[in-house]
Amino acid sequence: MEKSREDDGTPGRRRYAEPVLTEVPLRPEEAVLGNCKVTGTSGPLQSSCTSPATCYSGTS
Amino acid sequence: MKALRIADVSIGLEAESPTMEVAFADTHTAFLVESARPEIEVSAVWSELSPAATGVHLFDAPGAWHLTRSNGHCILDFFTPLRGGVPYKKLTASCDWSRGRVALHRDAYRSDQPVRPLDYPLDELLLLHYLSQRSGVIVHGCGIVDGTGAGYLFVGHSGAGKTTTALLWKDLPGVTILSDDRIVLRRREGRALMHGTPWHGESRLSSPASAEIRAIFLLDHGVANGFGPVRPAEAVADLVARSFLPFHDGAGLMSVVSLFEQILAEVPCLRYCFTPGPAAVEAVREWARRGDG
Repeated sequence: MEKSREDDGTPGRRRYAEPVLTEVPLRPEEAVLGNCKVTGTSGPLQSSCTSPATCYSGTS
Repeated sequence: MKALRIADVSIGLEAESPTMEVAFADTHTAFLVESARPEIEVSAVWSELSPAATGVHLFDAPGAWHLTRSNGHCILDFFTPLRGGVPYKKLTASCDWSRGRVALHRDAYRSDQPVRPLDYPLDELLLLHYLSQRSGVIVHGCGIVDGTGAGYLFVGHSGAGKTTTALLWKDLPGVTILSDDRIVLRRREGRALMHGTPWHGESRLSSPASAEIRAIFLLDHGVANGFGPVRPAEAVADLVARSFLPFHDGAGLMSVVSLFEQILAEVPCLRYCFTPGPAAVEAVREWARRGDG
């Protein structure tokens, strides 16, 4: 294995590079549609971003 | 019929119940068109909805909506905490997402106002699923069209600087902000395109315009303005993590990953660190002038 990491000098061959795992964080609260945006949360901010519940609370 | 048109996809809406008056959301106004044959047809009807959703459970967005498949249809039930387990709205759609019927629970809506069956999140869920089968995706990003027509896509999670970026650019001559929160990406006729959406963030800026993508910038806060390289696999992963995906649909997920691969083969993608100020805008323009892409 060690030998394969070395450049053997053959034209056109690339030096072996050990694979690197990179963790990319996924934020569930942002990856899934569900919430309208209010202070401190994710989601779109829209005047029409309502549900029947807010209609009944008198906010629309 | 009146239709909501986003990213060249029209969603037509009509009332099936004679006593129902339907309307679109205020934020939809700039996106409304007349369309004889919309790509997605939705009818709305009053109903008495029951708590239990039958069928194969596909996905649950806790407290907001869940998706099931039953008798060859895809069914979205929508919930609000005040109504507990009884949905206030139910979409029964063909699983190619081209036709659907929205049942609205009669007692959940005021009788003295028009109803808006396509209110968020149904509008975005419809488009998300439709596009996932047709080489398109909604990303968490800010789309800006420069005065030259060049499209710059700034991608990032909440707090990354999408709205800040939109505000830095919005008053510059010839600039159009497509949205500071949600942008649709599609690849059509060999071109990578970005489209505005009505789902805006705190800047409240959105536009139905579109543009060819000149560059994709992964937003990052910094102590100075600058650009860093991103390996292709890393760029795909970062875009996936900043997209709205059909997590229950393996073919749809693969289609989105493939779309990102194609776009990234044609469009430069860089990490973009910035400090809020005019110099951040100038840095992007200078990068474009140098033709670094």
